[in-house]
Amino acid sequence: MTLSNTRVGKRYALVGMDGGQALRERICSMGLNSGCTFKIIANSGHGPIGLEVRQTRLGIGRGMADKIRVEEVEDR
Amino acid sequence: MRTVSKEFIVALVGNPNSGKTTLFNNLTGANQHVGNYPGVTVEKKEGGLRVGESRIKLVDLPGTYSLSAHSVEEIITRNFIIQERPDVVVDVVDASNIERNLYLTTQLLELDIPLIIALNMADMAVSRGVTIDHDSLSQLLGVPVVPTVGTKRQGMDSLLESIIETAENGNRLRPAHVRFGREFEAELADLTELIERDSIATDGYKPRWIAIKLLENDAEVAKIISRHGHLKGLVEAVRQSGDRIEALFGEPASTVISDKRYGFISGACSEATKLTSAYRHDISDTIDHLLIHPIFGLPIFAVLMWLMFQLTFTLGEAPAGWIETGVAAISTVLTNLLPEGLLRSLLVDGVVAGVGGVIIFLPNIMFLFLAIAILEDTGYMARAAFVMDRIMHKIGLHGKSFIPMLIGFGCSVPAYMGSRILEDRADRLVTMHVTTFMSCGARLPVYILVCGAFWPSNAGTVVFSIYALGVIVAVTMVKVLRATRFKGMSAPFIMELPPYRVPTLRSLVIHMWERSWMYVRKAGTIILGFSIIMWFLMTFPEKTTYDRDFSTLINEAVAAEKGGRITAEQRDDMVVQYENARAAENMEYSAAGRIGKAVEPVLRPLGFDWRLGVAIIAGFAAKEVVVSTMGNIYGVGDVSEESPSLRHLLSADPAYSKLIAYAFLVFVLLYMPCVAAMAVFLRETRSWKELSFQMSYTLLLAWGMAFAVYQGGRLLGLG
Repeated sequence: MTLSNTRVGKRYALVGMDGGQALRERICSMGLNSGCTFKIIANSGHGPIGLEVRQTRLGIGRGMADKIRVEEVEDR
Repeated sequence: MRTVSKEFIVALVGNPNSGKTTLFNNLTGANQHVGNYPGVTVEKKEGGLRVGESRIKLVDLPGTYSLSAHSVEEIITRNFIIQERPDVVVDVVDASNIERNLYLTTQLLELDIPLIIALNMADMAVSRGVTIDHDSLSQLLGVPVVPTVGTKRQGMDSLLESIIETAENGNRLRPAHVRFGREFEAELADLTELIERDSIATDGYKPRWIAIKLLENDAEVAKIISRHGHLKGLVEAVRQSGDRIEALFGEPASTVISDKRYGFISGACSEATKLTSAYRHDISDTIDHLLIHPIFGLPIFAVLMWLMFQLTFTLGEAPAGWIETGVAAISTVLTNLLPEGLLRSLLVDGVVAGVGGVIIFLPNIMFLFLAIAILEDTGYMARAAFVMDRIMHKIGLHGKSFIPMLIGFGCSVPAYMGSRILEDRADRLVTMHVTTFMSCGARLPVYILVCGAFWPSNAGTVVFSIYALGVIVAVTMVKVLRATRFKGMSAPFIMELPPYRVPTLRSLVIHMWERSWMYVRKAGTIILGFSIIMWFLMTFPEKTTYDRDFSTLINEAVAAEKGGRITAEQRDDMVVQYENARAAENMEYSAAGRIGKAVEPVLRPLGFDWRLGVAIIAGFAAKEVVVSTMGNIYGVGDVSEESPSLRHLLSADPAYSKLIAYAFLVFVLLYMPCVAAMAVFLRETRSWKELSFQMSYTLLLAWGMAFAVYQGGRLLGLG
């Protein structure tokens, strides 16, 4: 599944990214690397997705979120 | 030993929102803005300070998350560190968000530079249930770690002490390197050797660092390498290394590298940090729940914007009144003090009327900038961009575009500068090209004057319609530009939503004042200069013989009242009428009048006469000058008890109608930005081509829309 179809309040792990190297490095430098887990704080099905990773919050546009592959994990 | 005290160059680096700017302000005393959205400190800011014998030049580098070469900020930061070789680099790390912040640190460690970590906002980390053992962190990273709390000015002395110590004696520890694993390190060692052998590693670049960057496919470093020749062998070796790594790890080298960096960080953090209590959800969660809510988010945003404009205008009213009284007092004093003549006219009608008419709007502008500063410093601005991204994306803009556009309602100058937060050039240019339609504070005086004259009972609604029209034109133009000159999608949206903070009064005031000061300076320089030029153009050449003998006519009226044939009121009306007619003749004869006449044929189809033409041309200097020029044209700068206000003169003038007034408002809204804004536009885009495009298309659009309003209105029988 991709970041776009995640649900608010659930926790996910990042498993991979499609798209170019620039995109991957950008996301990575902001705290999202493969294997890290994060919690969704906003996803209305339209517009950007809000998530919380490493004690920081990020807003990620839907187009970008389509390229981020995730897996649901147990909430800690 | 040293007779001359040495100056150390110290660079501040760190993530956006790490409190870097606050530290910079604390250390230098320079007053700057504490940013909440990335890019606020994209300008290289410098400040000087003295510590005992030593002098320090502190450079505030742009906030950045990484040292890859994907954004301007990253390249600026990296190049400064490598090429300028500062004596010390201070990496500001937000302790409450330590893992993400250390990602940049790992890359700084790779550079083998004299590095100090300012572990900032430790108090916030503690309140979130995390304590950090800075001694242990220092051992693990191999660099000094100094705990600081920028907002409370804590730790500044120890930081300075550490800076001087490191600057004078170098780093006593050895900066730790992230180890990438045996196979990977072997590849790195081979490449490093190759780079050393060809002695490519000059200009301060470390061979190992170059090898890492080449494996990361860093375009900038590849470019530098290509300048040194011996290229083919190295490029081939890097490619082969990359292939072997990918085969071994199942992932490209760049991904392996970043994963190892985060691995290193996790290791360091698990040793140096302690969770004192379970990670507590702070107040930001609750607020975010509401502010970026899928349904309530937008209405809340709309209400906040409405509130902002409401406050700007209601709170600004009283101080604007005081300034108006003050300006009137000055011009009365000057009128009484100076003998009638050219000098008095220059000072009263030119300088005081011109600058005074503009400075009256300072309170409104200050409140607008204060409101924007509050939105930024509390952290709401990023949420607004988040909420707006959905709409902005549909229009063809980036969520962040909305920030410069919002600032555009205050002044286009900071708005153009604010568009730097957009990394993609096409996004930035489209945003800049339409920001001018966000009606700036300087255009407001024109609307207030014209609407007050023609729609006294519902001026607010008409002004609002102009603002709304500006937004509609902006949206339409984005669509047009995206379909023609700037094809393609806007850059992907990714933005930090920083924790909510209660802004400090100091930072709000600094921020508000910095931007308002630009306005004051504009009033004091460009507008003052232009007011004087306009006065000259409107005064000379002087007309000596009039079509009618006004002096005699006025004397006759005075005599008629004395003889009881007309009332005093009638006499005053007649006198004013004659004086205005004389002023108008003067104006028509003057250089300005002639210029206005020359452009009149072009403006006729819009219903404008030469006087509006003069006002429009004067508005190139600054939009507010339109008002003061109208004042000059009607000769109301010479304030006296009897002189009716400019509003009254305009509405009573048979040359104008409501329809013409509205066409004029539309023209003023849309036509090219003022000189100051265009200068900044050029500086930001570095492109004469884009500037000329901006100028010509806004002029054409203004003409076309005003034409449509006037001619369309006439067809509908509106005037």
